Amino acid sequence: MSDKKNSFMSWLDRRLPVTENLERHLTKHPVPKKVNFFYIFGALLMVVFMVQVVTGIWLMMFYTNTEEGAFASVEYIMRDVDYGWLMRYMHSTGASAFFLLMYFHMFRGLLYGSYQKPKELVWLFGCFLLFLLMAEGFLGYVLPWGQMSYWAANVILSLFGAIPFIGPDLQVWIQGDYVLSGITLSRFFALHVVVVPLLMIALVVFHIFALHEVGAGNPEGVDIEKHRDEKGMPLDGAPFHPYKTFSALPAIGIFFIVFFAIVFFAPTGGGYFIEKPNFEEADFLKTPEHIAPVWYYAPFYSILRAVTFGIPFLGITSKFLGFIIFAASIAILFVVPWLDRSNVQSIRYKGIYSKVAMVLFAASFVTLGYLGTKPVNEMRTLIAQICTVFYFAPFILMPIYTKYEKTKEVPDRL
Amino acid sequence: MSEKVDPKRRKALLITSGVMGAVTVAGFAVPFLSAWNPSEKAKAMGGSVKFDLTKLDAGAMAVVEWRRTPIFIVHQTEQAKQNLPKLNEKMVDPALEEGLLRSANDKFSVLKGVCTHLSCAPKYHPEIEPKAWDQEWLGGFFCPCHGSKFDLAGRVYKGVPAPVNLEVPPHTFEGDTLIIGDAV
Amino acid sequence: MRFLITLLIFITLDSFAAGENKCGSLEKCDEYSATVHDTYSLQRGLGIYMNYCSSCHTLKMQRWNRLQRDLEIPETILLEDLIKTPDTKASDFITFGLPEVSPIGAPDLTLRTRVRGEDWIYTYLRTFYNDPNQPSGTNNLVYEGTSMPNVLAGLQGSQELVGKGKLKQTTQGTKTKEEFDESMRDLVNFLAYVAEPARVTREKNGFFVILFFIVFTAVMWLLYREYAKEIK
Repeated sequence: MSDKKNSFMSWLDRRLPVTENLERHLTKHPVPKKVNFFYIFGALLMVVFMVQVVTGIWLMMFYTNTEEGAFASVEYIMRDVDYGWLMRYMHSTGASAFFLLMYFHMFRGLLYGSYQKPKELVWLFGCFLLFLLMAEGFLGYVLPWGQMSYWAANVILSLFGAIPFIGPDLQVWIQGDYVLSGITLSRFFALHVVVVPLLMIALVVFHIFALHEVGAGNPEGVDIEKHRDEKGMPLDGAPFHPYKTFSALPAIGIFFIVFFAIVFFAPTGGGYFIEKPNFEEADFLKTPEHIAPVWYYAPFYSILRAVTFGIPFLGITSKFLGFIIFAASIAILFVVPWLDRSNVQSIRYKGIYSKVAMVLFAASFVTLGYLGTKPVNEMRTLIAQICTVFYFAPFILMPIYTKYEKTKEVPDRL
Repeated sequence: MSEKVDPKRRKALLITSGVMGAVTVAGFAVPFLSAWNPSEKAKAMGGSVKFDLTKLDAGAMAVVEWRRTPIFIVHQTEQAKQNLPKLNEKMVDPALEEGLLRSANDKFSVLKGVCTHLSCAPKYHPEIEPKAWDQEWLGGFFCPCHGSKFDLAGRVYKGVPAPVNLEVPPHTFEGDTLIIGDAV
Repeated sequence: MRFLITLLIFITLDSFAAGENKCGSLEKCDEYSATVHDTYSLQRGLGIYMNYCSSCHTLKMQRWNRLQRDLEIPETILLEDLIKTPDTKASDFITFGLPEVSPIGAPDLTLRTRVRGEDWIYTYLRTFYNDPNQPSGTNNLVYEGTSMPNVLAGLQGSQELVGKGKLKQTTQGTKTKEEFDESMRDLVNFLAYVAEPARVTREKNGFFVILFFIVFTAVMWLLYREYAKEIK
């Protein structure tokens, strides 16, 4: 019996490097023995990605991507299609889950220096994935063609219109029409369903290959490759399969408990996952009282709104400056590997300045997120401006404080 | 320092987890496979169609659409009913067990207007006179595409391309109303 | 640490920001969370809807036969008392009533509880009051200047404004205050059902799905621990 299996595998291996890759990436790939719960989010992200793709494909079978039919087709899915409601809620909850997991995943990266040499490329691919995810979420939210779909899209598209000289033409070009219309909807559909997902899949593959080339990190920032046993396996490492594969399974179980609790008992997320105005069809003659993005864009929306001034003598309006700073808030993440001059990887061994910086950054991000879901008033704008400063400061000052702060000695072994 | 590995426990756990995993995948599959069933919209569009029989004169035929198929409703004349048994030998399948008119009624026939050869729409020729396709024509349907012949009850003649009789759709008669399709 | 506490206090205080009404023109809605599992309540709600709302409003995304199935309505009642128009089939949508672009502009109500919220609708239905300044003769605390007439005056009686956001009963209707509020709860339950018919199934079956994943997690946890022993 095993003879037959061996000869089949050797037939296959001669033509496709199956065993070699299974060993390289799974059964013989060493990962640090001791990590904490922050390290599960990559696996969970892949699970959510698959959920989104499958539910998305199914939704596509019943959705109508025209202005006239979109809203009604979503209700068709919710009412007439068997289990259509389940697929719709899984997809909308999955989107929120995708972002929540992404933010935790990236925070782990910041805390434990996952971006440090030689993993800069892993980090860059990841930042690109964040950017694509944000695009994907935006495009997807327009598709139901509800009031919020339409008006929030209008807000974001008008940001492009704020770019000097080319702005208005650029906005018309993106829209395919003089105003946001069904033409825009149809092209957003193609981007959301094909273009961005394909790019994301490619980037995930590069992200993982880049990671496997170098090896995963750990919360201590210890280099496990330094001490190996006679077989060449790191002393502090364990093969990915079965240790990491089996540890992911209960985590996936817990994730689904929370995920389905939301899907079955609070699918609109209290109005934060599917916003109330979106249950009304888009009406270009009626603006909703309060245009707010979905919660996961709130921090960045907050930063955008906090910029209440422009640079007049450069011809930069406050709207355009807001756009620049909003873009910068995402762009700055890309360069973190080069901002961090510490000789130590993990926050556990860095100095007091890094620790304070991380707390400030996290607190600002959360506060900005909260503020982004609320209408503006003077007090809130002021707090948002302060928080924007505290969002950028940890990065802008990073080259200085990471170089000069007093760090602790990193242990040799886990 | 590792404990002794109990292979039986391991195997039991692996099998249990494997079964759990399989059940989970099956559970996930159910909604997605069910979603492919006809939706309420499909069921609504494919729902039953009503027809008022009092409007149909003897010897006339009405065409009604049901599930995107033409349905022929024929009000048979007395002469037609007398002629039908004469054609039994000429039929591939005389279908005597289906009743004279092959319907749940002794006045009307209900037939799918789809030729059982390659799905063209047969033409209604109730006239009893010699025809180019049959010198002894006693009324029925002639399909212009490849020349298949059916009698007024939709039974197929021997020696034509069509293999079986015209299909009878599910139907019920409620007084003067014909309901094609399953009853509401 | 101190910073985080300050943050927490700020967020809590900010929730009470003045100048933002949570309930249309009213500061706070009366709380009501609809339930779709009491079939009798839904049936009563349907009755109220048909009598008081259906002549102006449509439920154009809801099919009759779905209503029949979920609310357990016998065939005869459906055809005779509810559908009434002979050409309408049970699989059609509930479309009689004035269309959305009519001069009165009564909106379609299929998704209204999801757009406004159940609290809002519940409060709205109970806060009509006499107002001679309005063309219709009535106004509403939640939706200031609403063009909807007070169709429920027969049941509730009429009210008048005695202070900011305060109403007083002036005439009696056929129901007492408790009975009327209960009827409005039935109506909101019905509208909540129409806004999401799948809610009945989803709230019933969610429990089993979650239970399944608890078992799943337990089994996988045992498997993981068995192998994790080796790397301690």
